[in-house]
Amino acid sequence: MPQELSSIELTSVELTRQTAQLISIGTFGLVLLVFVIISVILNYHWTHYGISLGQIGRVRVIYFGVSSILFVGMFVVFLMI
Amino acid sequence: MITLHENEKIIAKVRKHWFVIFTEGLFLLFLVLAPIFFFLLSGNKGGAITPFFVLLYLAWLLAVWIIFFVLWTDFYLDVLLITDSRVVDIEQIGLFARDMAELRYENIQDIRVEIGGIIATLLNFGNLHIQTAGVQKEFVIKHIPHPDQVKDLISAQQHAAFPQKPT
Repeated sequence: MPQELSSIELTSVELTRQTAQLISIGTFGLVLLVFVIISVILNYHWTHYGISLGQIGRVRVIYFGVSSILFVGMFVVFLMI
Repeated sequence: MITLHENEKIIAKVRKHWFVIFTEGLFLLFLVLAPIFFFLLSGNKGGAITPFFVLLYLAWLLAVWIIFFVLWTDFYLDVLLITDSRVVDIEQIGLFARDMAELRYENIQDIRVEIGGIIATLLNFGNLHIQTAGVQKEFVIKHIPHPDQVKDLISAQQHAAFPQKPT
Protein backbone atom coordinates (compact mmCIF):
# COMPACT_ATOMS: atom_id res chain seq x y z
CA MET A 1 0.00 0.00 0.00
CA PRO A 2 1.75 3.19 -1.11
CA GLN A 3 2.03 5.96 1.37
CA GLU A 4 0.24 9.21 0.58
CA LEU A 5 2.44 12.11 -0.46
CA SER A 6 2.61 15.03 1.87
CA SER A 7 1.72 18.49 0.59
CA ILE A 8 5.43 19.48 0.57
CA GLU A 9 6.29 16.43 -1.54
CA LEU A 10 3.38 17.20 -3.90
CA THR A 11 4.63 20.78 -4.34
CA SER A 12 8.11 19.47 -5.07
CA VAL A 13 6.78 17.02 -7.67
CA GLU A 14 4.71 19.78 -9.28
CA LEU A 15 7.71 22.12 -9.40
CA THR A 16 9.84 19.41 -11.01
CA ARG A 17 7.12 18.74 -13.56
CA GLN A 18 6.82 22.44 -14.38
CA THR A 19 10.60 22.76 -14.73
CA ALA A 20 10.67 19.75 -17.05
CA GLN A 21 7.85 21.27 -19.11
CA LEU A 22 9.69 24.59 -19.40
CA ILE A 23 12.95 22.91 -20.44
CA SER A 24 11.01 20.74 -22.91
CA ILE A 25 9.35 23.76 -24.49
CA GLY A 26 12.72 25.51 -24.71
CA THR A 27 14.38 22.45 -26.24
CA PHE A 28 11.53 21.95 -28.70
CA GLY A 29 11.64 25.62 -29.73
CA LEU A 30 15.42 25.64 -30.11
CA VAL A 31 15.49 22.45 -32.18
CA LEU A 32 12.63 23.71 -34.34
CA LEU A 33 14.43 27.01 -34.96
CA VAL A 34 17.71 25.28 -35.88
CA PHE A 35 15.80 22.80 -38.05
CA VAL A 36 14.02 25.55 -40.01
CA ILE A 37 17.22 27.56 -40.58
CA ILE A 38 19.33 24.55 -41.62
CA SER A 39 16.53 23.16 -43.79
CA VAL A 40 16.23 26.43 -45.73
CA ILE A 41 20.01 26.44 -46.30
CA LEU A 42 20.11 22.76 -47.29
CA ASN A 43 17.19 23.22 -49.67
CA TYR A 44 18.97 26.13 -51.30
CA HIS A 45 22.08 24.00 -51.84
CA TRP A 46 20.12 21.03 -53.15
CA THR A 47 18.18 23.22 -55.55
CA HIS A 48 21.04 25.37 -56.83
CA TYR A 49 24.12 23.16 -56.74
CA GLY A 50 23.94 20.08 -58.78
CA ILE A 51 21.40 17.63 -57.49
CA SER A 52 19.04 16.38 -60.17
CA LEU A 53 15.28 16.90 -59.71
CA GLY A 54 14.61 13.21 -59.08
CA GLN A 55 17.23 13.07 -56.39
CA ILE A 56 16.00 16.28 -54.75
CA GLY A 57 12.59 14.65 -54.37
CA ARG A 58 13.99 11.52 -52.74
CA VAL A 59 16.34 13.45 -50.48
CA ARG A 60 13.53 15.76 -49.34
CA VAL A 61 11.19 12.87 -48.61
CA ILE A 62 13.80 11.12 -46.47
CA TYR A 63 15.00 14.27 -44.69
CA PHE A 64 11.61 15.79 -43.93
CA GLY A 65 9.94 12.41 -43.39
CA VAL A 66 12.29 11.29 -40.62
CA SER A 67 12.41 14.80 -39.16
CA SER A 68 8.60 14.90 -39.02
CA ILE A 69 8.50 11.55 -37.21
CA LEU A 70 10.98 12.83 -34.63
CA PHE A 71 9.05 16.08 -34.17
CA VAL A 72 5.77 14.22 -33.74
CA GLY A 73 7.49 11.91 -31.26
CA MET A 74 8.76 14.91 -29.29
CA PHE A 75 5.29 16.45 -29.26
CA VAL A 76 3.60 13.23 -28.10
CA VAL A 77 6.18 12.75 -25.35
CA PHE A 78 5.75 16.39 -24.32
CA LEU A 79 2.03 15.77 -23.77
CA MET A 80 2.97 12.97 -21.37
CA ILE A 81 5.12 15.22 -19.15
CA MET B 1 26.13 24.14 -60.73
CA ILE B 2 28.39 25.37 -63.50
CA THR B 3 27.57 26.81 -66.88
CA LEU B 4 28.93 24.69 -69.67
CA HIS B 5 30.46 26.24 -72.74
CA GLU B 6 28.78 25.85 -76.08
CA ASN B 7 29.07 22.25 -77.34
CA GLU B 8 30.89 21.24 -74.16
CA LYS B 9 30.10 17.73 -72.97
CA ILE B 10 30.50 16.30 -69.50
CA ILE B 11 32.51 13.10 -69.78
CA ALA B 12 32.43 12.11 -66.09
CA LYS B 13 31.37 13.29 -62.66
CA VAL B 14 33.57 12.05 -59.86
CA ARG B 15 32.58 12.31 -56.22
CA LYS B 16 34.52 11.33 -53.14
CA HIS B 17 34.62 7.67 -52.18
CA TRP B 18 31.72 6.40 -50.07
CA PHE B 19 34.16 5.51 -47.31
CA VAL B 20 34.47 9.24 -46.51
CA ILE B 21 30.77 9.63 -45.66
CA PHE B 22 30.79 6.19 -44.05
CA THR B 23 33.41 7.21 -41.46
CA GLU B 24 31.48 10.39 -40.70
CA GLY B 25 28.34 8.30 -40.39
CA LEU B 26 30.07 6.00 -37.90
CA PHE B 27 30.87 8.97 -35.69
CA LEU B 28 27.23 10.07 -35.84
CA LEU B 29 26.15 6.53 -34.99
CA PHE B 30 28.32 6.78 -31.89
CA LEU B 31 26.55 10.04 -31.01
CA VAL B 32 23.18 8.30 -31.42
CA LEU B 33 24.15 5.35 -29.25
CA ALA B 34 26.22 7.17 -26.62
CA PRO B 35 23.28 8.35 -24.47
CA ILE B 36 21.86 4.80 -24.44
CA PHE B 37 25.22 3.36 -23.34
CA PHE B 38 25.59 5.98 -20.63
CA PHE B 39 22.08 5.19 -19.44
CA LEU B 40 22.77 1.45 -19.32
CA LEU B 41 26.15 1.96 -17.65
CA SER B 42 24.56 4.10 -14.97
CA GLY B 43 22.88 0.94 -13.70
CA ASN B 44 19.36 2.28 -14.01
CA LYS B 45 16.85 -0.49 -14.71
CA GLY B 46 14.36 1.75 -16.45
CA GLY B 47 12.74 3.51 -13.54
CA ALA B 48 14.14 6.86 -14.56
CA ILE B 49 13.07 6.79 -18.20
CA THR B 50 10.77 9.69 -17.79
CA PRO B 51 9.09 11.30 -20.77
CA PHE B 52 11.31 14.31 -20.15
CA PHE B 53 14.49 12.37 -20.90
CA VAL B 54 12.87 10.65 -23.88
CA LEU B 55 12.03 14.09 -25.27
CA LEU B 56 15.61 15.26 -24.77
CA TYR B 57 16.87 12.12 -26.53
CA LEU B 58 14.51 12.69 -29.47
CA ALA B 59 15.81 16.28 -29.73
CA TRP B 60 19.34 14.85 -29.68
CA LEU B 61 18.44 12.41 -32.48
CA LEU B 62 16.99 15.25 -34.53
CA ALA B 63 20.17 17.28 -34.08
CA VAL B 64 22.28 14.30 -35.22
CA TRP B 65 19.92 13.79 -38.18
CA ILE B 66 20.39 17.42 -39.23
CA ILE B 67 24.19 17.12 -38.86
CA PHE B 68 24.14 14.00 -41.02
CA PHE B 69 22.39 15.83 -43.84
CA VAL B 70 24.78 18.77 -43.56
CA LEU B 71 27.68 16.31 -43.91
CA TRP B 72 25.98 14.45 -46.74
CA THR B 73 25.30 17.69 -48.62
CA ASP B 74 28.93 18.68 -48.18
CA PHE B 75 29.96 15.23 -49.44
CA TYR B 76 27.58 15.25 -52.39
CA LEU B 77 28.42 18.74 -53.61
CA ASP B 78 32.16 18.05 -53.74
CA VAL B 79 32.50 16.96 -57.32
CA LEU B 80 35.11 16.73 -60.03
CA LEU B 81 33.69 17.34 -63.49
CA ILE B 82 35.63 16.11 -66.47
CA THR B 83 34.44 17.62 -69.71
CA ASP B 84 35.86 17.44 -73.21
CA SER B 85 37.60 20.80 -72.77
CA ARG B 86 38.46 21.19 -69.07
CA VAL B 87 38.42 19.76 -65.58
CA VAL B 88 36.32 21.55 -62.97
CA ASP B 89 36.94 20.89 -59.30
CA ILE B 90 34.05 22.02 -57.09
CA GLU B 91 34.52 21.86 -53.36
CA GLN B 92 31.79 22.64 -50.88
CA ILE B 93 33.32 23.89 -47.65
CA GLY B 94 30.73 23.66 -44.90
CA LEU B 95 27.43 25.36 -45.68
CA PHE B 96 28.62 28.82 -46.52
CA ALA B 97 31.77 28.47 -48.60
CA ARG B 98 32.36 27.01 -52.01
CA ASP B 99 35.55 26.72 -54.00
CA MET B 100 35.49 26.14 -57.74
CA ALA B 101 38.67 25.68 -59.79
CA GLU B 102 38.83 25.25 -63.53
CA LEU B 103 41.75 23.47 -65.13
CA ARG B 104 42.04 23.75 -68.86
CA TYR B 105 43.75 20.86 -70.59
CA GLU B 106 46.39 23.11 -72.15
CA ASN B 107 47.54 24.12 -68.64
CA ILE B 108 47.80 20.63 -67.18
CA GLN B 109 51.44 19.57 -66.99
CA ASP B 110 51.40 16.48 -64.81
CA ILE B 111 48.92 14.21 -63.08
CA ARG B 112 49.88 12.09 -60.11
CA VAL B 113 47.94 9.53 -58.10
CA GLU B 114 48.53 9.05 -54.38
CA ILE B 115 47.03 6.10 -52.53
CA GLY B 116 48.02 5.90 -48.89
CA GLY B 117 47.04 3.36 -46.27
CA ILE B 118 45.61 -0.12 -46.15
CA ILE B 119 41.96 0.91 -46.35
CA ALA B 120 42.58 3.19 -49.33
CA THR B 121 44.48 0.40 -51.05
CA LEU B 122 41.81 -2.21 -50.37
CA LEU B 123 38.92 0.04 -51.36
CA ASN B 124 40.86 1.66 -54.18
CA PHE B 125 40.55 5.35 -53.45
CA GLY B 126 43.12 8.10 -53.18
CA ASN B 127 44.20 11.60 -54.04
CA LEU B 128 44.75 13.02 -57.47
CA HIS B 129 47.43 15.70 -57.84
CA ILE B 130 47.18 17.81 -60.96
CA GLN B 131 50.15 20.02 -61.71
CA THR B 132 49.30 23.07 -63.78
CA ALA B 133 51.04 26.00 -65.37
CA GLY B 134 48.60 28.40 -63.75
CA VAL B 135 48.95 30.63 -60.70
CA GLN B 136 47.93 27.82 -58.38
CA LYS B 137 50.55 25.23 -59.25
CA GLU B 138 48.95 22.08 -57.89
CA PHE B 139 45.39 20.97 -57.39
CA VAL B 140 44.68 18.10 -55.04
CA ILE B 141 41.41 16.24 -55.37
CA LYS B 142 41.10 14.10 -52.30
CA HIS B 143 39.62 10.66 -51.68
CA ILE B 144 38.28 9.91 -55.12
CA PRO B 145 37.41 6.33 -56.11
CA HIS B 146 39.52 4.62 -58.79
CA PRO B 147 42.05 7.45 -59.04
CA ASP B 148 44.08 5.60 -61.70
CA GLN B 149 41.08 5.42 -64.00
CA VAL B 150 40.30 9.09 -63.42
CA LYS B 151 43.91 9.99 -64.19
CA ASP B 152 43.77 7.94 -67.40
CA LEU B 153 40.49 9.57 -68.36
CA ILE B 154 41.89 13.07 -67.89
CA SER B 155 45.03 12.13 -69.81
CA ALA B 156 42.96 10.69 -72.63
CA GLN B 157 40.84 13.82 -72.81
CA GLN B 158 43.97 15.96 -72.79
CA HIS B 159 45.45 13.93 -75.64
CA ALA B 160 42.21 14.19 -77.55
CA ALA B 161 42.14 17.96 -77.09
CA PHE B 162 45.86 18.46 -77.71
CA PRO B 163 47.29 15.43 -79.50
CA GLN B 164 50.76 16.96 -79.79
CA LYS B 165 51.26 17.62 -76.08
CA PRO B 166 52.32 14.65 -73.94
CA THR B 167 51.34 14.55 -70.25
